[in-house]
Amino acid sequence: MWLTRFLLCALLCFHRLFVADARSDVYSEELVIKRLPSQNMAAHFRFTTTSAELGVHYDLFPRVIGEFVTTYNLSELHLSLTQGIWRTDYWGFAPQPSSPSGAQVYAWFDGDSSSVDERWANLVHSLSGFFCTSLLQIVPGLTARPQLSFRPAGAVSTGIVDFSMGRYAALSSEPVCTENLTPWKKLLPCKEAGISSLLHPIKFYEAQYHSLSVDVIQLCPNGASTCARPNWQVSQNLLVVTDLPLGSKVLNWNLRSLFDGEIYKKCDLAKSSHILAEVDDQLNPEYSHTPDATLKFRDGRKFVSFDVSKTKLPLNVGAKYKDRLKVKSPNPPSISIHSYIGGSGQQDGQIVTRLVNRDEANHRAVYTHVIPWFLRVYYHTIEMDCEGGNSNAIGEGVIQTKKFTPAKDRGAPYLLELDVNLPAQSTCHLSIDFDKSFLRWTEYPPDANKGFFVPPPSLVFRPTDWSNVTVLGGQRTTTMEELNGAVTSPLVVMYGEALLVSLPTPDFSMPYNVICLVCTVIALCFGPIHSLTTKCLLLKFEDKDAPQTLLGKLKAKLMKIVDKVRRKGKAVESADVKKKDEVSKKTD
Amino acid sequence: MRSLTRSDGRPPKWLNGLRRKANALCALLYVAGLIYLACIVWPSFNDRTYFSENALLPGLVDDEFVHRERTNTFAKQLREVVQTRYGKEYGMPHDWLLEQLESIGLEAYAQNFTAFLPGISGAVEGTNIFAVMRAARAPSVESIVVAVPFRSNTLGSIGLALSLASFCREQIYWSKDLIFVFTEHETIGMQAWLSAYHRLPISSLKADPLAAHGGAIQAALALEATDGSTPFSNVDIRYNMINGQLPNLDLVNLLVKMTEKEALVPTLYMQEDPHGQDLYTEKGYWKLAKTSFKGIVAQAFSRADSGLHSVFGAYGVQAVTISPYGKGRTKSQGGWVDIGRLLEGGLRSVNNLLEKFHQSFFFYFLPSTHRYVSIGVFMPAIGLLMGPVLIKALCVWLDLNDEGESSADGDAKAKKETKSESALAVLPLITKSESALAVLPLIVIAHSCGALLYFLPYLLFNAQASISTNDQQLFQAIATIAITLPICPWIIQRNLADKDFGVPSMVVLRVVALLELALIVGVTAVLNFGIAVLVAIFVAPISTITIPFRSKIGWALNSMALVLLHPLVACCVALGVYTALTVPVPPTPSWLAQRAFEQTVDVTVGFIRDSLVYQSHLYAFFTLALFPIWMMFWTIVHHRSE
Repeated sequence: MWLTRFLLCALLCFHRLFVADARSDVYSEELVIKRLPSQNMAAHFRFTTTSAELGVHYDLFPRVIGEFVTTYNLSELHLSLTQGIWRTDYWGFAPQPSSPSGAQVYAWFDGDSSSVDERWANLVHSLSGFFCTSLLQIVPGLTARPQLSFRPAGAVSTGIVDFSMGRYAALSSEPVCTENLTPWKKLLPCKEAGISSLLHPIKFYEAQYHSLSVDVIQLCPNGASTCARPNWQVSQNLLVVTDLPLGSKVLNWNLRSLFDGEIYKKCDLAKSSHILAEVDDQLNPEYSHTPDATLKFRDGRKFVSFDVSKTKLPLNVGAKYKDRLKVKSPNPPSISIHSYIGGSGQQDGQIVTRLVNRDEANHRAVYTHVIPWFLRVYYHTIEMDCEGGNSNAIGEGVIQTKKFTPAKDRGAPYLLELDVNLPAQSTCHLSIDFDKSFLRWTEYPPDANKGFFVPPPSLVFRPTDWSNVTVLGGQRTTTMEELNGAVTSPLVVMYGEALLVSLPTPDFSMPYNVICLVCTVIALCFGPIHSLTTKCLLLKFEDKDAPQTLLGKLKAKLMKIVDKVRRKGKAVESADVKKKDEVSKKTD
Repeated sequence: MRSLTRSDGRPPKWLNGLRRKANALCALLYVAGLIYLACIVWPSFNDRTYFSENALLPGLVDDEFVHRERTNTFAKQLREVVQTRYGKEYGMPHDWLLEQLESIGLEAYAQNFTAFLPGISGAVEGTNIFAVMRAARAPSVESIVVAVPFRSNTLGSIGLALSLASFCREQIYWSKDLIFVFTEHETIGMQAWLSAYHRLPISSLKADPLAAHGGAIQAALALEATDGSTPFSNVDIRYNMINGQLPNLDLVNLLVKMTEKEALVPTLYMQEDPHGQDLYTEKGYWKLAKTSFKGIVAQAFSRADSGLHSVFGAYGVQAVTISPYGKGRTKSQGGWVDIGRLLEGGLRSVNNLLEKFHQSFFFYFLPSTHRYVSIGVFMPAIGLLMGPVLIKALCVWLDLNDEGESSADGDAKAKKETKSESALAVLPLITKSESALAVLPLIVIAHSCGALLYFLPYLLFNAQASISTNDQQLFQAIATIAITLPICPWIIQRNLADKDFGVPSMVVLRVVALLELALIVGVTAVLNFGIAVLVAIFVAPISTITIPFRSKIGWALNSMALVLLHPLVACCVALGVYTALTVPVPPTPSWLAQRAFEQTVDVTVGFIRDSLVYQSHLYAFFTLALFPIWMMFWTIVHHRSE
């Protein structure tokens, strides 16, 4: 009896051992809550799953993502779906990885470079199907190959970035809603426990800003850029900014008020599960729970952390404030970007981007803009004029490098990549002129008079001041890791506004018909009226000797021909005579 | 169209009939045109307005704006601030406005501008305040503008706009950003803001770039209510924009419907619609005719002073000014809150638009707020009125041909024996082309005179930018030139002795002038029906009968008529007649003359100012198109054949 017990015990132990060994996947979750400079509340969810190998067996790593990676031989994949726009001037720098309005996909491929286009197209189709989006129109007309920005964030197998292996596309017209959240949530190991139990769509979609993203990268130990067996990491980010409580003016928040839910169960699969809140010092918050730790960061920033796995459940972390809401003027961060369309009318226009550098120092930045082919931009019209700041610095507001890929009609967009220098304390206007093109009538989408979306430009730069960085962490690290000393990427990506351009749109209703009709009438009338008014009338002398009967006319014609032939004969004869004369003269 | 040509090259028989009866036909067509115009105003010949764009309907649901208290508080505070800071001389408290807008949760900005205007010494400086209400969840690609001019008597309107902004900020249904603009110096400020928004610089208006944008502007509503005009009984809807542009009929119609929903009476040009039972009566007809006529005149001479909306047209934005006013003793009485609800409904409707305005009519005129005459209905009137001009041109041309032909006939008889056909054939052509070439200098001179007149203000303005020119001086310069120029062709005719400006060449000039007139009126009719139809009515008949007269009386009468048609004289006379009709007490002739002259100065300088600042084409139309034609007719009348 005891033997069987022992065996069973041993087996169980073995099994435990075996399973623990097999669980190479690591899952961690965190939620960062922060009051933005404008007093809005931002909540940033970050779910990270890391796996040593993607193959036949999947543990915590989402199988779908793993299959995307293996089927299309991906090196990296980034997808984001965003509703609204991150207002940098009011909210500070966007948490990294940041995302533009609408959808954005970019991927880096491994393997055969000749099949990248095909694999990209298939990948886009798969993503579109899985996430319930309408990304199909980005292939091939909106797909670009950037060189200066959107580089791989993780490790690259070869160690060198081959630009022919990267593909980038953004689709600003993509609406984002619950049907995208559901498949995104399905990728998580814990769907109804831990922090993910706060993911209720109702609160997210009435927020000011809402963005969800999936980023798949390879990581090498110690942050090396290449290694033999990199780990695969999928990080899922969800960012929400709630509106100001203008009515009640109450600054208090808790999980229930922010997300319409509490945490009832912890996620056993998570290695770490934290709720972090940045302490807003001036407002003196009173937390509902005693924080597990208070973490300090540069520039005097302080965070409190609540460990979900150790706290008593249900958990409804919150903070209370004595102060009431006072709307403040914005204190914009050192760099900001705004884009808009200049000009009016159906023929041409201008894409203008306002780049502001409020810093004391000059800043290098990379400006990238993918412009759809239906705006025919003119390379020679790229212009950057800066004003403000000190006068000697103005000359430095120059474009250092220009990389310009022309578009192919219906095949590829324009890609404009500029390495620019923003002078200290200046406002620069970067502009490029375009002509609007006529589309084929079948190419107009339904509701063609809405206009056509142009994806927003992006700006990548290295900030010197980290107090404006809203949420710590980045592509490779989480906020918790960065607070504990991990080094994150020093680059910040920010996006301008998506643009809506109205192209000349045919109108098949009345005015169009009228124009057609009028043009036809004019075309028909012109000839006769022209001949009536310009033809000159000639006098015609009637020949009384002319034959009147049919037979007589025929005879006359015949006689004419005979006459002609005779004349010709005579001419030939006379020519012969002339020749003979000449010959005789010469002989003389 | 075979009927116009025959195989033998001769004109068809009916053409000869036409030529014989041309004068009668011309008169008939002209009268028919006038009758047609009079008829289309009658309700049986036009249609009721309707919503073409269904997306606009949701604004007609229940309104929620109820903030009477808030509106009054804002207006009261603003009055106090203006009072304490500026006393009786009002000024715009920019920082106060910025502060208020920010406190209600909007992004508020200021924009400085400087305008250099002819007739005004020094620069006009001002600051616009604008605030963007960001629509939650929307990526700021589309926006709607609410514009209010800052003036000593619009403080109530600004109070309402502020309270409306705070109300809108609390709503969650916005899909487009709302931009509230408070302009200084009326439309100059608006134009400065728009030109900066679209980055289309204007040389005489220096505007700072804007700190924020809201994407493509889908529509604009301007509010202009005079303080102390409450309780409101009516809402005047002003829709004429510069260069005769009109907003989409759907937008006008929407505001009419919204006004009625608030139990107020919509008016056009302060004129109420005929009541239902009056619609088909004579009384109703005169009301409709009056509103139509006012609409046509307003479209023809649309200036920037009709409201902030008038400058949006150039940027392709549909815009309307709503101007509530009170008549006192009417049943319907509304306060600021009702106007707020009206605006709320308008904004919510436009907010719901999926596409930009494109469905309904852009070319129309309105006999009443509920009836419209579309382009398909009114264009035949232009055809009928301009028909005589074309027929006359054709007949004169063919007559000229016949004269040549008859002379050629005579020659032919003389030279029949020689039978040199080729020499004969070119004869009429030579006569024609010679006379055509002979008048070429006259045509060029006429157009150069127009060009000179057109560029004169620019030359004067540029040369004297630093020196102050006032309205009077500017007008004097233009008037002097416009009145002396007509002597020009006369002198040239006299001095160019070697050129034989015979009657045939005058006839060719007549054909050219008639065709040019027909062309210009025809083209203008599509863009600006108002001015085309007025030109057609007044200029067409006189131009048709203008010939190189041989009798003294005919010459004198025709000259008189042409003097009256001189753009400046016509303007003065029209303004005089208008003043005489509108002034309640019968005025003395001297006062009337003086008044008319003053107004002419105002209008002329206003046109120039509009063309410099608002890209109005009226001054160009008068100087580059109408004046040369007038000069040509003038030359024809004053032709002296020996």
